[in-house]
Amino acid sequence: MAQKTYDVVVVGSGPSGGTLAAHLAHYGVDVALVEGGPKINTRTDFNTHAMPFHFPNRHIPVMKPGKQGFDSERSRGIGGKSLTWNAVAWRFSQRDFKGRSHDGAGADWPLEYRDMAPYYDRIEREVGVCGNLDGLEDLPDGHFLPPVPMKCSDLIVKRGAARLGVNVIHVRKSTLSKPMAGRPSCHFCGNCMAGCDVVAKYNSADCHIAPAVKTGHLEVMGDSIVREVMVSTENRVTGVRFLNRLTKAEGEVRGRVVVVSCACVQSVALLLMSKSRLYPTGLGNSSGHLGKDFIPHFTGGVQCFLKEMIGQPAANDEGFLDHAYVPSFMHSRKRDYARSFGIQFNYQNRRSVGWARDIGGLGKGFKQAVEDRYPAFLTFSPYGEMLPNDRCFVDLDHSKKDAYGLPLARRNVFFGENDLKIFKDMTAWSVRILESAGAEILSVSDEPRTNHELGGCRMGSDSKTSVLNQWCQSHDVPNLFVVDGSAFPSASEKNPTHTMMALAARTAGRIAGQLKNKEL
Amino acid sequence: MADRRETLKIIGAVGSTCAFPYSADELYGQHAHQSPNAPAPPSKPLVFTPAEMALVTRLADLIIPATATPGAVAAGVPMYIDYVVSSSARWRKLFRQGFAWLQREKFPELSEERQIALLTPLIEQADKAKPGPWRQGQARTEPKLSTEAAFMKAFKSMTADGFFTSKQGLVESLHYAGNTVLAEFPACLHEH
Repeated sequence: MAQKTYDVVVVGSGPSGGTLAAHLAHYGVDVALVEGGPKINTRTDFNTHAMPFHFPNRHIPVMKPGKQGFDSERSRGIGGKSLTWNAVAWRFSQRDFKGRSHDGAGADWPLEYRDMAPYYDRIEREVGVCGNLDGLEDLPDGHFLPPVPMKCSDLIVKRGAARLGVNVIHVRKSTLSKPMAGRPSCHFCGNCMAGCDVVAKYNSADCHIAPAVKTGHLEVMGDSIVREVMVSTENRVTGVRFLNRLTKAEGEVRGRVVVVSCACVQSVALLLMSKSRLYPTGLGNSSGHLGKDFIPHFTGGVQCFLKEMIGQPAANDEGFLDHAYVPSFMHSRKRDYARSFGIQFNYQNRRSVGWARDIGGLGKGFKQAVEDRYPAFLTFSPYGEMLPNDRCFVDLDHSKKDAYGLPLARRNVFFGENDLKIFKDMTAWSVRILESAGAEILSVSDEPRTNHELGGCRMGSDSKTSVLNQWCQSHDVPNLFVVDGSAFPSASEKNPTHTMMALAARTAGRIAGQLKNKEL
Repeated sequence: MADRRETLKIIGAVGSTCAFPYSADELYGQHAHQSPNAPAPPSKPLVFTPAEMALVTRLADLIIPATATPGAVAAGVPMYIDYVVSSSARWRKLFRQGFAWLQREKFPELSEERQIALLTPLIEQADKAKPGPWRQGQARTEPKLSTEAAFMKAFKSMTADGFFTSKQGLVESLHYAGNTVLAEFPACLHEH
């Protein structure tokens, strides 16, 4: 039997791959969506509502007993990281896309805000994003469902920040504040990142992939761990080779176009593993930039207690985790570094009381001190933008293989001078704002930690210094695309998923158009 | 019931104009928060002897005593500590040293006052101990603590972790109120 050749093979089913595959299917393009993990029933498989005391080690596992594993490290499972994300959804601003033009550091995107705006619009209408219209130059407004009220504790922080001239706004999230498209609104159980079991929070499996399967144009192939993107001697990618997650049996699927959307580091790893005579150092790596320009966000953090709430009754205020945000305010202030930071806060889940061990003393006094402070606990996490540097990159560690014999991806993280200046300043501002809000500080982290992995496969207008063009298309191989955070040439300080989804929608339109015109 | 009405309203609102409607056949029904089918805790200690369990129970009771709300012992913290210690050779060694020290001090025979007097300076030492500053590319220096203080630091951390994640700690002592279904998030009515 002749093997079917799909129009497009998409590797990875998270917010990028899921959005892209669904959009392509909607355009009538035949898509095979290949995902390393199993199908997960978001209604029944996650431990969304468990309590720590249900488990002898008091650690709530992601999956219910007997359910197929969700690999958190590589987010394998249909829906990828969108299953367990916190759903924060910002638009990047023109300044975010043109950082280098503004302050001379890092890299510009080869596109403008106006190129992305229609796709942000489209994603917001499609998946539902709640938020307020704030009219901020650096945080463009969109089509929002009503914002969710701020918590009492948010308002205390807001008042403290206002004394310093710092703005606190409603968070914007891809979580429904009103029923939409058959999905219920959020019920504020506070367990978003354990996996939302009613799909009030967006996930690509339920919101994009499942409906798109009904078009008849999308075939989902789970449990298929892609180990190689195949390339022909005519410099065309022809499909992917995979290993069955359970049986390790080899398989392949062919396509006219291949899109890699495995979530940043894993996308880079797949391309580095896809060596050939044409591309001895990794597929599409003629620039030598594959794996370089790795620019994850870095965060620190302050733990504190709002004095006003110490000794007050505990409230049911987990909500949908963070309800408020401190948008970047340093772009317009005097500073000795490039770029900026924003602050996420008050997203703690009150089922976890890990800070109690750091309260001093023992006996009744200790117990009372924890009881009094419990309603007042608050976490504060500034996120800074990293600039690319030579010592921060992703490569393969051939000395460490996974269960399938594939080398592990290795993150080599190094903070440059500018990054450390931002870290110092964002930590100082965090303490300043919290003290102004009347907080008792418990701990201040002095160690930058990475989150929101970005870069490694950056887009750019110069094929010598970038891997992709503005359409997420390989400079080297015209029918190869990489669509996820790895394509970001600069990171902004804003949570990136909304921009990944808009980028996926934009790229899907481009691929569908090019296939129609037989340009691919 | 408000929840039921809310659910029915939601089911009635299935979108027909959205390009990607959430499939009606997969609509969730009544949303009940259920406890998971969790494994049963072990019925007897995995590593501690009866004499060691007695020491652990006494220490846990001193760190988080019963007040108007239950304390560490009623919350099963000694069994939790046994569980944690069983999982690591490092903890087993530290606890062996800690138990030997308590025996040398004839801890079980001391009055409560003298037990507290013995532990308090060690807890204070442990509370103050902080690791060295972060430096890129270097391991942090661990705080220097005597074996007894290191033991008490670990013991207090395990007691706090075990108690405040127990039902007695989280629900009865701290009054955890979350993990519920709210039709809408209540706006704050305080003056701010």
